Amino acid sequence: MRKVELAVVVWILLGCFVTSAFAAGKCRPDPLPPNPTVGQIMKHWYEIKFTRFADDVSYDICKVIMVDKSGFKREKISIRKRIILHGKHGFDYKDLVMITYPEYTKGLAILTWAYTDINKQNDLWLWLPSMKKVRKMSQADEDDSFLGTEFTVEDVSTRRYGYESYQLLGEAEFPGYTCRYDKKLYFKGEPCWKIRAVPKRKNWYYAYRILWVDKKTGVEIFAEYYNKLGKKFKEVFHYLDTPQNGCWSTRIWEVYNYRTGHRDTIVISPARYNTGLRERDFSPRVLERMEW
Amino acid sequence: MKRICIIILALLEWVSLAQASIYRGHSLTLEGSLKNETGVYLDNVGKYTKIMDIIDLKGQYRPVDELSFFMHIRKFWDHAYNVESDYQSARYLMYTNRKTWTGISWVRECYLDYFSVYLDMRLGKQIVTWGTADGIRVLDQVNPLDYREFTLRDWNEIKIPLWMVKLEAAPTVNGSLQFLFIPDFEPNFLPPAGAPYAFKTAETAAQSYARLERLGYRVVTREQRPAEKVGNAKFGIRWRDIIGSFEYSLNYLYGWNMNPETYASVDTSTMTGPPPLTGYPPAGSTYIFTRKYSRINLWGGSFSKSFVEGFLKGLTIRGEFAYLRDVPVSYYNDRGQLSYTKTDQYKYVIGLDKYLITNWFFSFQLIQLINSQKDYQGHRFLLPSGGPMDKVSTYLTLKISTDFFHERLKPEILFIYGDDNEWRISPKMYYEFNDHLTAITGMHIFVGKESELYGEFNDVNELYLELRYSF
Repeated sequence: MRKVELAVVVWILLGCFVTSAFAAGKCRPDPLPPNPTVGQIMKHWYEIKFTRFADDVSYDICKVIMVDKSGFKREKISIRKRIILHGKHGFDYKDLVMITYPEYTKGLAILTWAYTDINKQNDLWLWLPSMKKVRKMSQADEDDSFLGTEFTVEDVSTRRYGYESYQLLGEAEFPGYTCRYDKKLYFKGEPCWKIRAVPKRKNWYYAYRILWVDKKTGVEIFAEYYNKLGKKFKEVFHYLDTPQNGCWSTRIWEVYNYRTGHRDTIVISPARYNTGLRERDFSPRVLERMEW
Repeated sequence: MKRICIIILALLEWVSLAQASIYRGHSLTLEGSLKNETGVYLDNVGKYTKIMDIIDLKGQYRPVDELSFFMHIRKFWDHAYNVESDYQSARYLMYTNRKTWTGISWVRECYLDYFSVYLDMRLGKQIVTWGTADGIRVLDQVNPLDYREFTLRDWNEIKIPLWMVKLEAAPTVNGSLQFLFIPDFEPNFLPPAGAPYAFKTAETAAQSYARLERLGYRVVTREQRPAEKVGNAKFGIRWRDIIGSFEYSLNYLYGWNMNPETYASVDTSTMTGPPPLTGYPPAGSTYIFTRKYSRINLWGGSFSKSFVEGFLKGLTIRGEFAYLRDVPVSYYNDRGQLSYTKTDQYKYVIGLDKYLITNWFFSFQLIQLINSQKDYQGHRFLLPSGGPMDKVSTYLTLKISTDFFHERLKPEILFIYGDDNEWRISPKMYYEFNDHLTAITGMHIFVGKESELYGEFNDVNELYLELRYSF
């Protein structure tokens, strides 16, 4: 009997060891070095944006709220899971998004494989409820709308370090942003780096962006999009929970388009990091599990 | 055995739902929709092709991540069969789905899922899709089809779910071996004579039966389905893997041809008098038309590849190939009677997909269907339209879709061209009023000879409107 008890204890201890050994991923980025270069600042932001500090991340609720000029509102809700592969076999990350609301798009699932080579497009598979099948798809053009919002595919999914050239314009206090979703004033007076980012693509849908990066966290809290005439046509706001000792988590992304008067907000539930997702959880087989 | 499985699954579903509402409300999802689909003839807008009311209810109970029960109930009523006197002969089969558990039943899907790292199981009434082609069956021969509106509906609605066991083992990160065991047999549902999309062969058969009855014969139709036993089950295997970003599958299905072969015989024991015409059996005899089904073997494979860099960046190429052995095909013999023989068939599809201008998506397919023989002793094989089947039939399809107003308005158009100069042109427009109410309006236009696959519906050009409220 004692042998059995001993075996159970050893098994539990071994389990704890194995779990801790494999749950080594972090849930917050390393701090920026003192006096960082503009390249280091932007690299750091993209580490945060794609949660590259972690091994995996899950969001139970990603709510997309679309509000047009007249105030008419639509919503989409999804579940999102991502495994970060840290360059294994050339992969940056693999990502699975499953739409859960509204009912008429429920079940649509998108599996994305992103490569570390920024010149490569993503590989995409869709689970199409109307066909009950997995379908390999070409990636949408990067200036296409993301889920019908004013965000582009590039804003949300593909823009990474190296897409733009960066110039540090200086330091400034952020004037504050009143979120149209929750009416709260964010980051007023926050010391920021002001950075000009120019896309490397010619004739792209914006001529340049002015970025406000929080000096304390390295988060790109605000981005202003300008056209060739130097006129601002769009702004994007990012709010992340960045506790001093806890896990960082993206909570609000908001975009406003001055041309259309359309405002879209993505509200995200707190992230769950390093839960032990496996790479095999991001294969087309998983899409075939969809019931809807 | 199948009935016991059905009862157990239904009880599990019911118990789980009942418990869910008491103990685990958060694990239960219940959703559904109400929908009306109304269609009229383009050249006679006063005549309906359909007036369908549809209730859809989907319920899922997932007590833990690895286990779930899913049930999909779908009941429809097509009031065109009450309104249009032309359709009366088809009303019984077309007005509503009367069955509960098998075939075109109102319990559409009902299954138990178990997921694990290396093995997934789905047990129950379900749909399985193979292949990469859109809008045509090459490799995708697991579930039979409901042809009540030809192939105009979404494919998840056209397919008839079957009771089966689906096991999917994943020995590698992206590789998986699927095994299907399908004890349930169900043929394709072919709309009866009188329905707007009835195939000409059904109309011809109905006319022949009526003629025999006018001549004083009795006409009996019978269906001889495979007996419910393990030896008659369908089996399928699929290996799928991804090498680099090249995805492929290898498939095998030991199944049944889902279209019946109809054989005629005469029982003279019921005779009442001399033959009404020379060469015919005695009057009062019984003509027995028996529908039978044959085994077929299918071997095939599929692939898809997106070019993520280089000159072809943004292009997805996909394809599938199927070799079907011993497929029954019909022909008219020397005496003008419908007969059958078996032939091998080769089918393939090559598809190209690309976003060309931001959100304008273009999807092109080349499809070829090849019979190993052109005819049987000089008699041409027949299409469902009753027209002659070519040894090689080629079809081209092009689908263009985009969206406007933040994806509230989604227009698309589908062109299908057959090499005998037949066309199907289907434009449609989808609109979201809000999170619950959506509408689709569109047309189906058929051009071509009546003897061709699409041309045979050149008298059923349709204008339709669908309204859907989801909750």
